[in-house]
Amino acid sequence: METTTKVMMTIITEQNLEKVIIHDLEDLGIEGYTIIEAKGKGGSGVKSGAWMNDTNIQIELILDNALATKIYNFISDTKKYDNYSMMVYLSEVKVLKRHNR
Amino acid sequence: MYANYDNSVSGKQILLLNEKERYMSLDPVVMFFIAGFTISLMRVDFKLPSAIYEFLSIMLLITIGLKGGIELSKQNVTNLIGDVGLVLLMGVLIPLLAYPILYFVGRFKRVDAASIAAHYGSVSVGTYAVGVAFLETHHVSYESHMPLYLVVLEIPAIVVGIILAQGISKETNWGEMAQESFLAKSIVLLFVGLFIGWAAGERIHTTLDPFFFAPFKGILALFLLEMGIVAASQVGLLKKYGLFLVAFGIIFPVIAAAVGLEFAYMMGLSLGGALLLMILAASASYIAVPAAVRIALPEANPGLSLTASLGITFPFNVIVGVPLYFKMAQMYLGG
Repeated sequence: METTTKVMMTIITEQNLEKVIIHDLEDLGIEGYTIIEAKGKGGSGVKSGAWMNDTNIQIELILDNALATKIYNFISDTKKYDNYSMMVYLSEVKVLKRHNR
Repeated sequence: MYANYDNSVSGKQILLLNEKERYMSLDPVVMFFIAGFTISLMRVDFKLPSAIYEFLSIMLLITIGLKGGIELSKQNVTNLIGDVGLVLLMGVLIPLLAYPILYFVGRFKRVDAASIAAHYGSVSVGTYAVGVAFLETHHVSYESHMPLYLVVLEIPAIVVGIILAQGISKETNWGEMAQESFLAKSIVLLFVGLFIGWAAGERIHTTLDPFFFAPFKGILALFLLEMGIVAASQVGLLKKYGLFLVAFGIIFPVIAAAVGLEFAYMMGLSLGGALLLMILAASASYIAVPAAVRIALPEANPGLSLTASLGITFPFNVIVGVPLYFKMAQMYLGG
């Protein structure tokens, strides 16, 4: 089984923030992303997913270590997202070789 | 045979109810709203799939746009420039009226007062559609180019709200703000309807009638069923935000409707047109403005403005406001 180890960064945040955050992430150098519409509950209450202003998104990024660190530092340092509900976590994933150009 | 039966029933109803009661009786579409509201309060786990809700709102926006566009195709648009200016002025005035009440009386933080003011200066297409249904039910005619004002009123309140919150000098990202508000889905769809209606004119009736115009009230009924469910989900938050917000959400729309009535008088609108302008003035946005303000004023508490506009003002306008404003217009304009 030929795989490479990568970092998967998962960002769960408000749908309203989608354009802004994707713009920032692209500036930081990501080449691709996956967005899943999500609903759930957390520190800022229930997001029922019933309509646009009440929906979360889950952004998934597959990154190498260097870029993951860069994005992690940006999100930790910026004040830009202070007022938005956001959850970020990292996990190690094994990516099939054929996907790793 | 059935037609006769129907006629006799409605004839009886008119006999039973005097003129005033007839206007105060609930439109069936409003009953759908109340049904949704009740279902949700009873914690029945039902909601329309979000794609269906999206579809219904797309239908409403395009149909309303088309209606306005067809009307615009019949008249010289340049004659309306003065009126559009007045409507813009009204859109600037209403948030300026709301802000001091929220800031000084309600003692909200500056950014929250500005955010709520922006919501109330903008408009709700759902409420407008209820007004159209009300006028159709009661066979009151109105200036069909009113949807143009619906588009015009979406924008100025957001700009005024942002300026109220942080002044012009601060580093507002106007580009992103413009992207969020001017190119919001609702505005674009209304524009699409207006433009196609204007370009194709009466021809639209021969081809698109069965799809867009005939089912208007049915589409609105389903839309309101869902809106009732969503509005009721805000009710739990009312306790959290206190009595002032509830009072504001009920009293301010009536004040704004009176402002709308004065503008309608200045513009020489008919009784039906006056009602629609009052509804535009009294209604608060719950889709376009929340999304734009969330980006432009992140420090504002989105729960506050959404609870007010969606949990209080929208139900108030749909159930009580529309017939009340009609009464106000009748008394002021004489009708």
